[in-house]
Amino acid sequence: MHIKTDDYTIRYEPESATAFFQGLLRLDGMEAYQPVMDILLNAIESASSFTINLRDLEFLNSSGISMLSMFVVKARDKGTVNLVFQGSEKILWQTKSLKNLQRLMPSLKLEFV
Amino acid sequence: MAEASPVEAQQNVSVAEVEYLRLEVARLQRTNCDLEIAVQTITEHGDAVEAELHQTNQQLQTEIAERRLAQSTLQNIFETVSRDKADLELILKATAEHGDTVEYQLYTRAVETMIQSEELFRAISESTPILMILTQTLDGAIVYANSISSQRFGIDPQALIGHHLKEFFANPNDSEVLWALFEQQGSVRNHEMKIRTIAEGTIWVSASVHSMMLAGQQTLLTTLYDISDRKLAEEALHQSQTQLRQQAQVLEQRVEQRTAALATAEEKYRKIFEDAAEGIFQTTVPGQYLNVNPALAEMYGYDSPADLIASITDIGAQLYVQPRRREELLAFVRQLESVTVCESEVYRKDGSVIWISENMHAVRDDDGTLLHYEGSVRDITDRKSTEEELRRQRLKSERLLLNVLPQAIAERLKRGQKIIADSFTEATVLFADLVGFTELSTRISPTELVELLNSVFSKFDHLADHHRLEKIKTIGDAYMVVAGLPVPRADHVRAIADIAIDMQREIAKIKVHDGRPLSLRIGIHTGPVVAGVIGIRRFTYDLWGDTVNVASRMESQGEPERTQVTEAVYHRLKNGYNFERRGAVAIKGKGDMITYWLLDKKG
Repeated sequence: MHIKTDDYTIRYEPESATAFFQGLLRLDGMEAYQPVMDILLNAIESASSFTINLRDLEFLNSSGISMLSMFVVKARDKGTVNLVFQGSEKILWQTKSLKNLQRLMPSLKLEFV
Repeated sequence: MAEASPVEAQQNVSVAEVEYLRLEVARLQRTNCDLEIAVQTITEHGDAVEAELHQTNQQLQTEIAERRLAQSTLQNIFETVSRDKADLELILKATAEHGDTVEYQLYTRAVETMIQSEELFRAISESTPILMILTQTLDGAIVYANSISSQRFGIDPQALIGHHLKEFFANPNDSEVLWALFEQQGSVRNHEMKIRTIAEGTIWVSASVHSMMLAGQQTLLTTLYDISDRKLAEEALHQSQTQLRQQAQVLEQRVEQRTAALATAEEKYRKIFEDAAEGIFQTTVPGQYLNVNPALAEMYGYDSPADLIASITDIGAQLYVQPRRREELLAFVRQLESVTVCESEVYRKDGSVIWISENMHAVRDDDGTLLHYEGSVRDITDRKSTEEELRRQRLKSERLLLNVLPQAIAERLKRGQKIIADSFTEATVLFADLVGFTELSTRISPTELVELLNSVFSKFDHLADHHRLEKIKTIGDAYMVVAGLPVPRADHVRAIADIAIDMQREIAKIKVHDGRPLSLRIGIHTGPVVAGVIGIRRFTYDLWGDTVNVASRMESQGEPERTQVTEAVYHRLKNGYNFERRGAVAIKGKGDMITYWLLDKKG
């Protein structure tokens, strides 16, 4: 399960239950993010914990952060998943926006390097 | 009612009262009845109302329950909506903040990029050797000029602003030409023209003009690239082309001169060819002469070159003594392109044979096709006969040397060894002396004596050859021979015993002219010796050592017709030969020695 283009790569690794986001992600509107959302929702169907690694994701547009927010809400409502976001201190948007995701789901864990 | 007396009144009162009471009863009875009806009615009505109320009450209860349910549902919806609202608010906040962050970052980056590109532009424009000038229109005033422009034009950058570009054109017409080109194509590329500079005067430049929008205004960027070097190079090229043409003419003249010189040289070489002492020839591939010089004709005994060319039509068959010699030579030439100093025997015209040494090579055209053969010939007959003589002389002297020395020793001397002294642990030495020879010399002439000695020693020489022994020398009438050197052999004692027996037998056959027989006294000893060649003149191969001395004593203290041997010899041979013990003999320098007479071979 992965998506790869010139700009970005999204790869789900079932063994570690981790999704890796890399590159520049700027899809046009929420509909365009549906396939990404599907991968994430699919991943939490079966797993009890799930990690999203954004350390190599340099850019994410507003539609992207909306999609991640909605995903967090859905994961919270499901109530059975331990969600972890891994981010990088070096990427400005991650240091600001990932904290807001935690406000949607206080049990969400943030890991920065 | 009418007015009544007091009794009557009273009566009247009573009646009235009764009547009243009766009326009252009746009214009460009616009332009672009404009441009963009313009660019944009321009861009935109450029952109905009660039933109705109960029903209503029931309805109310249901409604209340429904209300409660609706209220709780509404409460749930309200909660969900509130949470969703909170979520959405958060998402909105997250998205907005995210947007702000990204926007901030992009903006910062864009500004950085702009600053960088501005710096880049400045770096380029200030470091490039190309003049870069911005004007509003082509004939308009300058709004920007890079520092190289101000250097070239000799005006401060700030002062340059406001000047017109065409002021610096060497030919004012170029302004119109550029404008016309720009109008036509929308831009100008590499228009070559001249500008005036402060330091170098008028120089050639390549001018390009591009239009762009700058701060909302159409601006023209004019670049001027100094191509004076290229122009100079072009000029130089032009000059060198002219020079080359001149040189080509000179060369042509020289070729003509050289052609004339070649003709002279050819004439010269023709003379050399004619006058050479060596024979020179050209032949066809199959084997006919194309050209020969007089020297060759003379060498082969022909009257003239023409005579030689006409007479020999097949060189291979007619010239060489050895059949197929020409094929052999040509095989080498084909492989090596040329051969040198090939010696062959050839027939002259008169049939006599001479030795020649010839060089020959193949002549090919540019494609490598074989045209013909060329070569030179020398008569080496004299040298050949000298060489042959030399070879004969060398063989003879080698034979002579072998007479004096064993071959192995001769080889070592030839290789340059000065002194040879080899030690042999085992050799057997024989001395033979002709008995009464001194006395004989008084009776016959010296010539006869030498002839006699020669015939005897020649016989001994043959015997020595037969037994493969090394004759050492003759001393007067004594003969010395050795076995076991220079090449060691195991049967050296037996070989000497055999020759001793043979020598005694041979000497017995020889009679001198007065019929008296010759007799021989032989002595043999075996042991270690040193053999070698010493001295520098008339050297011979000789032996030294005690073994030699003892052998000599065995001979000198022996008896005629007998062979005396030492005990050492006896012990080596007693199984194969018959001996007679002589007993102890006093030997000079040795004291008493047991000796034996060798008789003959057993069996």
